[in-house]
Amino acid sequence: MTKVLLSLHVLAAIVAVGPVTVAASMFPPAVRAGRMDNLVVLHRICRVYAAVGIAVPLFGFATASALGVLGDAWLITSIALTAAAAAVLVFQVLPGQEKLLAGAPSEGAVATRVRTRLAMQTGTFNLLWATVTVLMIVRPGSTTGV
Amino acid sequence: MSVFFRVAAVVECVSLVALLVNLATVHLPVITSLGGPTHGLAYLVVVVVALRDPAASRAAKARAFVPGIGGMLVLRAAAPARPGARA
Repeated sequence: MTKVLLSLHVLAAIVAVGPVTVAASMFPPAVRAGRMDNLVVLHRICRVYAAVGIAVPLFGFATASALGVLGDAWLITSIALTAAAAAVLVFQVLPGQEKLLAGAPSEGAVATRVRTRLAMQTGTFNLLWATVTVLMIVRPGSTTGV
Repeated sequence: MSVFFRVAAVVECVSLVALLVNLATVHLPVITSLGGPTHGLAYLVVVVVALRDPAASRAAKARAFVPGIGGMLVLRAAAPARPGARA
């Protein structure tokens, strides 16, 4: 059962978080290029796959509880970083994209500031979840050998 | 409210019932380890979606925090009054 849960967890991470990373990273350059039609699709990918991404912590917690590793330091750190990444995505990246989609001016200092901030927040999200991925692979201090 | 919120509200409530029934009867560990995170994340989704919804009133946002049935309470308060329903 643990192997099934772990497989679903990894599969969900690849299928859900991958598209969000790529689409969110492509969003700020598309704003600069003024490609409105692309922006709608990119934002939709981010929003829908962020929702699908809930499956990742769901199966993650299930796997951890089946393995009995919920108290491990590497896992608690990963959970905290994942929570931070989710908060950045839901409260900063997605609202930032919505603001630019809602017709913020595409030229001028204000547009540049909004777009630059969004690019930085997207980068923060990517960095956080990349860190979690490394923690999941290295698992410092783990002895389960799974 | 979106379909996403409706699903989360139902999952929040149903998963809690499933967890409690499991606890009182067979107590299968797989239901505990899958149901616990399911319920917890459904609760978080309900709270976050309600907080992010610009159309949600302050009362609706507060209701979303109620454990177990918060999503249902928000949906019930947001539903238009049915004709013939008793007040």
